[in-house]
Amino acid sequence: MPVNSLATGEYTSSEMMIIATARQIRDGESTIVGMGPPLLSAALAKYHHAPNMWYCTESGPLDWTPTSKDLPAPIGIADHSLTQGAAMSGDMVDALGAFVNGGWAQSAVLQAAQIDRFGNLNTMLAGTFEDPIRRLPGTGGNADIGASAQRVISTMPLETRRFKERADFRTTAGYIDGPGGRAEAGLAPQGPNMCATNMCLFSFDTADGGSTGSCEMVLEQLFPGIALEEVTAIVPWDLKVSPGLSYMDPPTVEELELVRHLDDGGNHLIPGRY
Amino acid sequence: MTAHEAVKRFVNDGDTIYSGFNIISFALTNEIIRQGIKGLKAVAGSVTPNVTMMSIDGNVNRIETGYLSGTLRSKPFQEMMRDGRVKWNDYTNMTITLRLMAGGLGMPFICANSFLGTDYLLEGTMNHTRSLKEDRRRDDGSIAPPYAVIDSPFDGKKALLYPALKPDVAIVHCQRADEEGNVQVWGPQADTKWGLWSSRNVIVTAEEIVPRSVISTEPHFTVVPGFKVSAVIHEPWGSHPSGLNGYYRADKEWASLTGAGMTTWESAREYLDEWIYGTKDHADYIARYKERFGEDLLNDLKVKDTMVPEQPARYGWR
Repeated sequence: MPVNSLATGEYTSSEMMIIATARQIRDGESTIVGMGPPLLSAALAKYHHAPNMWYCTESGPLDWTPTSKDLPAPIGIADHSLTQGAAMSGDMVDALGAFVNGGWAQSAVLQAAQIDRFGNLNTMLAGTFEDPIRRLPGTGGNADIGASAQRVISTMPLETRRFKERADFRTTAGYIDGPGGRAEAGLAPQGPNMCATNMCLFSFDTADGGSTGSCEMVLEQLFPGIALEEVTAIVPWDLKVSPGLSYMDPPTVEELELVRHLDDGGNHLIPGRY
Repeated sequence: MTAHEAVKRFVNDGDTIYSGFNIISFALTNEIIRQGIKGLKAVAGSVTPNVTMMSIDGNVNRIETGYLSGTLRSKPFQEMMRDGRVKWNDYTNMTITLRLMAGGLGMPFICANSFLGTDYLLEGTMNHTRSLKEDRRRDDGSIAPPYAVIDSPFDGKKALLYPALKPDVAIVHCQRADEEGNVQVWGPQADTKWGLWSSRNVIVTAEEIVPRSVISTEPHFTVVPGFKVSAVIHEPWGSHPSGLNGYYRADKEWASLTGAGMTTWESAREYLDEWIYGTKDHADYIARYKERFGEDLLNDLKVKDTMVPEQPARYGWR
């Protein structure tokens, strides 16, 4: 554990979720960043350990490169600050079309309302179209990105209404119904996909992006202070647990200070939201 | 031409309108509401709160989009989606933008893989009871599909085709335009360019009207040339309460100051009556806003620290 790590109680579970997501983003890779908490996680990665990551959003700005340490994380995917230090200010055809659909996005960071056993995401609705429990805004670019990004890092709090054996609506393809699902649907392999929550980090059981393995969600790391049983009690199917299950390092002082600084005035970590 | 004249001339009941993803003309939105135009279909990669506003009195009652931005905070809007007063189909940011692009390019359809492996391919997603199925009825009475899955004739792989979108009229705000209607936009442009190219008529409000010489020294910022534009209107603060890159930020105080926006039927009614029906045009709306809440509120939204090109683009020919 790094020497400057914090003890539980010195940070919130939402902050840990943002930090855990950021840690999955690699330096130097081209990344498409979705709405909500991903904007904060990717900003943290950019300022912290991935200064050469290409921070891109679907409305067109490619390679947000803050020119001042004081610039907070973007609030939306069309935030005016996203052209700061940018390499390109394009449009949706450039960003979602050429960059993502063209296969150039090495990773994607996406939030969703639900995720299922095979990593499919839902941003459409809870319930059904004819009888919605809750209608959500819809996919935006989530489906477009899930179809074509080389690797997807999803993020959402671990809650029973969000983790479903099958998502109420599959907006965004993960491994669909299991091994071979992506190929059968006409999609390229994808992975290693991850899902970061406020309690733990999941991976998916497939070594080749969806052809072999069970393609199911696997518990990879628990966050400090979280017991295995707390996670399995929330996930409604028989959850696979990695034989190498470990604890994730708690936030460092630097990570936590950056998250709080970048979330200027609580734009993303609205109390009670996550 | 004024916004009043442009809307009168180019927007008709039942039209399909493109209203942009992130450079929204509230000046034209408000005018459409004022003139009581009914039954519009709004299309955009993402529709924004101006579409919520236009749904309250039935100016917009159909939507084809990838994202309902801000609309779900509106109880009236949610209610109308449930009881069918608002009908819609869900696509995605990219597929709508590409469908507009197909329309702009004069192509009948365009290909993208976004729906593969998802529940968009289920029958009930596009043909639910409040969907736009009827809008797809063809002259022979049959219903056109909302998309088509084919095996590509070229490599045999699965491919998804989406029909072109050709709106009747586009409404958009821009940073600057000249008197011929050459429109310049910068910042994240989302679906703007193809929304404008695909629409039969284009109405543009411009923050600044500049001479042709300003346009032609930076022609790379022009998204559509003047011949594509039906009307251009000078409207300072034309995007308010949303923002305009390089000019002003979105007005976060607007909703609370004017009575919670479109969140309830009561607040929506009061807002429309006072701020739209009760003002004669956008200049009047802005004047009232300043009078009521003080000049400083708007002045504080102005972007002060603008970027100056370190080395402007060089064009030359001899």
